[in-house]
Amino acid sequence: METILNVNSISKVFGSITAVDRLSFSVHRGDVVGVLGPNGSGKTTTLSIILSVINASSGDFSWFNGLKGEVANRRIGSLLEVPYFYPYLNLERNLMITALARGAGENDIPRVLDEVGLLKRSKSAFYTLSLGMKQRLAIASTLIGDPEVLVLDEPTNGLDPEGIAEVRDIIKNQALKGKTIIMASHILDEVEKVCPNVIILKKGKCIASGKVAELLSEKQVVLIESDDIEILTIQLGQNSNCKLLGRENGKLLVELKDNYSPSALNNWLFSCGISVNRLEPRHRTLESQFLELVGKPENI
Amino acid sequence: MNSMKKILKLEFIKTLNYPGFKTIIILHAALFVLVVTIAPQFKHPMLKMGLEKLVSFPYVWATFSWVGSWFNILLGILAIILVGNEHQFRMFRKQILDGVSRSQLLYAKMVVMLTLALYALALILLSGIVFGIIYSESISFSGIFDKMPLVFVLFIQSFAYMMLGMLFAFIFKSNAISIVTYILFFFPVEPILRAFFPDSIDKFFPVKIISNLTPLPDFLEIVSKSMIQVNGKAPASLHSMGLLPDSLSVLVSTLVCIGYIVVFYYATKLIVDRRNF
Repeated sequence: METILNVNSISKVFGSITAVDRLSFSVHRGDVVGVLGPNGSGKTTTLSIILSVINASSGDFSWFNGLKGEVANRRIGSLLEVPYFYPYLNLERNLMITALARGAGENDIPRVLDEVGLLKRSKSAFYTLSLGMKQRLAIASTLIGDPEVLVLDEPTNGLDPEGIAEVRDIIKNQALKGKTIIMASHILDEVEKVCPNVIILKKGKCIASGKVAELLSEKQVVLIESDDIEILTIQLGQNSNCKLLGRENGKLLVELKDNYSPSALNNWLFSCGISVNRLEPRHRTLESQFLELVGKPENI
Repeated sequence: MNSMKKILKLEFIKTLNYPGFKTIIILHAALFVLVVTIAPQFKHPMLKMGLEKLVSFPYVWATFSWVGSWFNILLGILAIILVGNEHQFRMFRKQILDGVSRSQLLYAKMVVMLTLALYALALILLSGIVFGIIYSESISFSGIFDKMPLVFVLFIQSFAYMMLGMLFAFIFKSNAISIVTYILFFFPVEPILRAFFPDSIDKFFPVKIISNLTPLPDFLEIVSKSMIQVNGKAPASLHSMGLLPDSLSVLVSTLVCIGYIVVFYYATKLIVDRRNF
């Protein structure tokens, strides 16, 4: 499959802070990739580097097999952080500036305004828009010229639930058209609903990457109580279908592998001569697994 | 090339629609016209005669270039605001994201500044022709055109003011800080710095060079010339009285000023190429 973006060991250092640390990844045509990580994990800095608005301290990247800078950016619709427009210009003129910069036709403006539901406000000055409308205009500007790649940084920032759903639908529609999409967010739910692939960042480093379904599946977790918790702990360590997650009020939290049921565990413990006082299935959310990955423990 | 045309079109869309741009241009033109309209009405206190001679051909060009230079600082401030706005609204970042190169960002701003310098030139030329026709006793071809090239020096001067303003705006980003430091640089920072250097060096400082392009016309000589016919005495002049400092010729000042414009350009380009937007 054609490689659209190749990132090779990029780093960015701001004084004593390493915002991005030897990060490498590649994106193929048609991929929809989420860049996930808590605030300060280097998502925006990474996107800023690959979009040439900030210079990497080291490392290299290229789009479309060797392009970078303005030549590549004209083929990419991008939104970084909050929407930026000239406050004194109306929506149509602001988008005209985007169209001219990208070398796209100005006749595309009504189409993209209609797509984000702002066609009726095309003559309004940017500063008169609500935060949600500004965000929708920013989405519209990424669609000008029908670019083959979209790079979106927190695209649902400031939107109400209805707006979030609308923007999500827009992005999904673009993905269905075969566009390559890179979307950064600190909200797992947002990434999980849109992106089949994910790159998880922590302190500027990639700590995991791959299919969301494989990295973050909703695995079965059980809470086990026994008279002798130490023997239980040793015994569970010998079962390859179990992963000990920790203790909670003197009870053990255990993750079970797929197709290994709580009753199978109970039978196995009984066969080992261990009787349990309590074995309670718990639902372990994607969010908790994500937080576990990025190093923030959360009560289950 | 086609791409650069589009970049210039977008540059003019945002510049011409910026309310502050219109306000400063109207203020610039109105102040200039006001000053050159009122000035000839004053009577010289010693010679007891009007200053109409200063706005007649060919003296009008030197007079208007000098008066025009007073208001170049407004164009410099406008250049700062236009660049500062891009920083304030983070639009340099947006334009790079949309496919404008860093060089194109800089060239587009320079084209706007060249256009503003042309506007300043046109203002002086048109006003000079109108006032020259009104106040000249006789009009000849040589009378109109002999000293006219002085006006083109104002074009270079106003462009230099704006290039320096743009450099300050790229260094400081904030409009307020850039404008204050820009004005302070003209006075008193550079004059104080010059005081530490001998005359042979201090006349090459940028503000000194840029100011020297449009020197104060020797109005005493111009006005008293017309008195020779009356009393036969040699005309007095500020220069002969030592009231006008010796400085480089306009030609040398112009060449050095062009050199400074090139320096301002490369210093700005260095910042633009390295900056994280």
